[in-house]
Amino acid sequence: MSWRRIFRTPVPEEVDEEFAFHVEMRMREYLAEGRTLDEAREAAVERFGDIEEVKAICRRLATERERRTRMTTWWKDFAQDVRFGLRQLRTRPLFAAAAVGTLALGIGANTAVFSAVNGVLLTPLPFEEPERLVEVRTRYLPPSGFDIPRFPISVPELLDLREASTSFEALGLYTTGTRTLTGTEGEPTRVPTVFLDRAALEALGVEPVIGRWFTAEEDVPGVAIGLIGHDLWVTAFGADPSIVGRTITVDDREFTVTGVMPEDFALPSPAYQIFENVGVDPADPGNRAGHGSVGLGRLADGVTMERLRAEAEAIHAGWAEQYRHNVAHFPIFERLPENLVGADVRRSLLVLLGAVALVLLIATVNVANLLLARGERRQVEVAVRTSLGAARGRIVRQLLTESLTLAVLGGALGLLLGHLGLQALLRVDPGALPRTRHIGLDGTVLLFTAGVTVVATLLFGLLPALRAGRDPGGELTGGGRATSPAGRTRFRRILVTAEVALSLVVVLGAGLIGRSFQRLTAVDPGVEIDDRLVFQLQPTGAAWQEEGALPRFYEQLQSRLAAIPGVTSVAGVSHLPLTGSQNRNDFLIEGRPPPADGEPILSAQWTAVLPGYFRTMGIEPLRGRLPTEADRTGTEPVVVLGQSAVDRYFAGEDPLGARVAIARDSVVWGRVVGVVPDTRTTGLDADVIPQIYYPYAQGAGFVWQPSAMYVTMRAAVPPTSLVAATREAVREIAPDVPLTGVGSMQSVFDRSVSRSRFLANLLGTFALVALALAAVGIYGVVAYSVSRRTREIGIRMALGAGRSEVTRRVVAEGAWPALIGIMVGLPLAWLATGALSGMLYEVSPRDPVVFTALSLGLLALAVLSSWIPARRATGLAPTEALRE
Amino acid sequence: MPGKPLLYGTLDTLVLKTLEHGPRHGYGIARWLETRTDERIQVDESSLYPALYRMQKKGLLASEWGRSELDRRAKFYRLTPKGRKVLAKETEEWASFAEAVSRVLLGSGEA
Repeated sequence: MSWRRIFRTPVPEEVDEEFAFHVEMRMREYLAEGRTLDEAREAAVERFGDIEEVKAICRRLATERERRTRMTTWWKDFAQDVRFGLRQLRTRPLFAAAAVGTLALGIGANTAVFSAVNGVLLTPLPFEEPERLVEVRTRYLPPSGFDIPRFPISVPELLDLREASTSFEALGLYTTGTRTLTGTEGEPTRVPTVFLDRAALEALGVEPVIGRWFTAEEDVPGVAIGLIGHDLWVTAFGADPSIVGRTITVDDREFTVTGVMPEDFALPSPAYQIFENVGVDPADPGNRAGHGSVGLGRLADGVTMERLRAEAEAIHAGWAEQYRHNVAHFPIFERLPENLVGADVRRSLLVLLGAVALVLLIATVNVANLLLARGERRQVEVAVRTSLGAARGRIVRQLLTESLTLAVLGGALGLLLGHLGLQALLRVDPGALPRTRHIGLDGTVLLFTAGVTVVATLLFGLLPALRAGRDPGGELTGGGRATSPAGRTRFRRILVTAEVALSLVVVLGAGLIGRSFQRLTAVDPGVEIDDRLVFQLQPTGAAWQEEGALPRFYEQLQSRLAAIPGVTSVAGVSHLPLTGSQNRNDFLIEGRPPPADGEPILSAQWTAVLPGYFRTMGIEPLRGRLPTEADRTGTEPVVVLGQSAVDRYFAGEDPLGARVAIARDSVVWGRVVGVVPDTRTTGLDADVIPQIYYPYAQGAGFVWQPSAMYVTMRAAVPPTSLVAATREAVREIAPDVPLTGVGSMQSVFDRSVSRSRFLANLLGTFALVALALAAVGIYGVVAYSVSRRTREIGIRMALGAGRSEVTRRVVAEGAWPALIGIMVGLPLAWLATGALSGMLYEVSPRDPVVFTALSLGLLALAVLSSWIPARRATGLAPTEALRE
Repeated sequence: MPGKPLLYGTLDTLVLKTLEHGPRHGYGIARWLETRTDERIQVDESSLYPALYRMQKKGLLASEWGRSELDRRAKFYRLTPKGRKVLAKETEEWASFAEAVSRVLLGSGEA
């Protein structure tokens, strides 16, 4: 019977043979009746009608039946294997927990990083054909002096560009700011606002959910008209469709709402919820030197960036002819998608993706080791099954299915862990990644996790399954070369080497990023961070334009806030350190001729301060004095310089007594009365911008009087405990002025390093996981090998070998492969960390301290992981060991 | 020449019956039915084999290659437990159908 099963005749031949038999039997009947051979055959065949057709019907039926049987058998086998696998896991819960846990870590890490990659990089942007969208800024290259690679563009420059260029389908501009929304239920709110023109809307090409864009004719200076964002529409206006055409009150003016933007529209970020007309009059576009806008354009079909840049160069050359001054700004073009996501974010995510891939490999190596150890214990079982008739392929399939079951359990757990972990991290650090709204568990992430699970199964399960199926018969008889003890141990050692090498790469990467982060946060921001509370105010509206109203308000506010118990001092500043401001203005120094063509222009950040600011923020003057209440309108305007302004513009000379003024039509001079150390306004890793501080009260007429100010408070108690009292105080004095950004200075600091911290934390976590896995892996291998050799160890010790000698031998078993792993891993890491070069602050990607320290640390860990099982084994009394 | 056409579905049941007491090959099934009905029913080969294959696909029959009485290789069919159940059910239904029809046709025809 089994012969027939192996040498089955295929279906068509079977049908032929069956019918041939029937025909032959019928022929016998007819022959017996007396017909001739031919008559008999003809008559017999005729009984079938169209015999070929009948045969065809039967063949089809037979093939269908066979296919169905095959599938049913396959599924039955599969279900049986899964049940068997689950039962096996139940009988060995420790093994199951170890394997499932390891896989969960490896797969979960991949899920987490991939869902971030998916949301941030892969989810399409909410614009049509986003690759054709381009932002236009300028590069500020005065003949000598600064080189600011990224600076806003001025309106006249953009209009000129629009006129001269043929590369754009539409080219508009935008700028950002904040408006106060009143008149809705609840307090007045500050809403980040985008000011843009019709051309920018056309370039973006985003259809509003309801309503329409505004037309170029409607975009008139002095009129406020535009669209609102979807979130604002829902929260402030209850998604009322009648908002279209209505007016709302923004900055005490009437703003006509023409439409609502779709929910996922975000430019430059989801916080911006009002899209107002920019109000540029083409006949009077303003100062060519006033750089405060960003161009937004859609490239015409087929235009490349090269062509655009070449054209811009030509256009700029034309400007140089036409305008003698103000040509130090060269238009630069960047693709909008890269700007929205940021090259640094992209690089960080890719680095993380690489790291988790390595972690997954390490995890699969561990599980493979576990399976190999288990496999050896099950060799007898496999051998018996083979001798009972199971085909080798069937056994391999069964073992693979067990591995798949393991992987699916690990993958499900990992999916949960990865998703929850990432969500938790994002809640802690919301500013760390852009487009977090799109990060979550969607179909793509699930599919990816499933794919990773399958790959992991193949990686850790295929080899042990194939090995188990090989030469099983040999096991029963005690032979079997392929799975000899020596071969097995050597293979496991190779796995340990691989594991250690991969871990080293991850650990070194994390170490470099960590050191970079440490260096970054060690940078002195120039102000004291502890015990400070800050918030921002922007009184807007006609009432505040009255002369003297703003200074009076801030004066009043200062004294009212100073009265709050727990507050040591109160002050204010127009640009708070670490908030990313890059504002600069050109200025003049009395007695020096204005720079001619080709000479460096004097440029600094002019910052208004309320009296007591430097003391409040812990800044000690270096020379001269600080502004006081005595410096107000009517007295001589004074300024205080930051140290780098002195270094750059007063090279060595004493600046006290010199006079400076903003470079504009009406020049008003102020006297330098003091010098203070630098503070970092843009960020810890950005260059220091030269600072010129002036008293707020003297702003009108001398420089300008910003309505928006950051209020800074120094406290003797935890700053956040003062928030309620602060709000109360502001509400008392100015109920219609909203507070924004209330928080401790520490949180401002944290936010400014949030991206770096996020990467350092995540990479650090993965490195710890890799270390833990490697340590567990080494421990497992040594412990297993020791457990096999307890007898041998017992004999050695009974024959007089010292405990430490035997321990040393065993430790070497784990330590040697680890050492080789480190030596293999170092060149790999050398190559890999090259990818980090753009991301490190003051740390070389091959920093010798990091490399040496972490390599030694890993080696020490390997030795420790080998020492523990060694110690335990040699602790057994020799008689016990011999009994094993 | 083929005999009276059988009612649809009846062939299947008849075939099942022929296998009630043991396996037969296709020719054997045809001859048994012919002999049993005194040649009144002639089995149409073009329906017999498709019926056999169909019933095997449905799981009512199983087949095996064996040796015929004349020691030639032939495919033998036998009833599966499912087939037996179906045979019993069909037989009972046929019996009650036949009884009902007889009562009408062979009765007096009176109101």
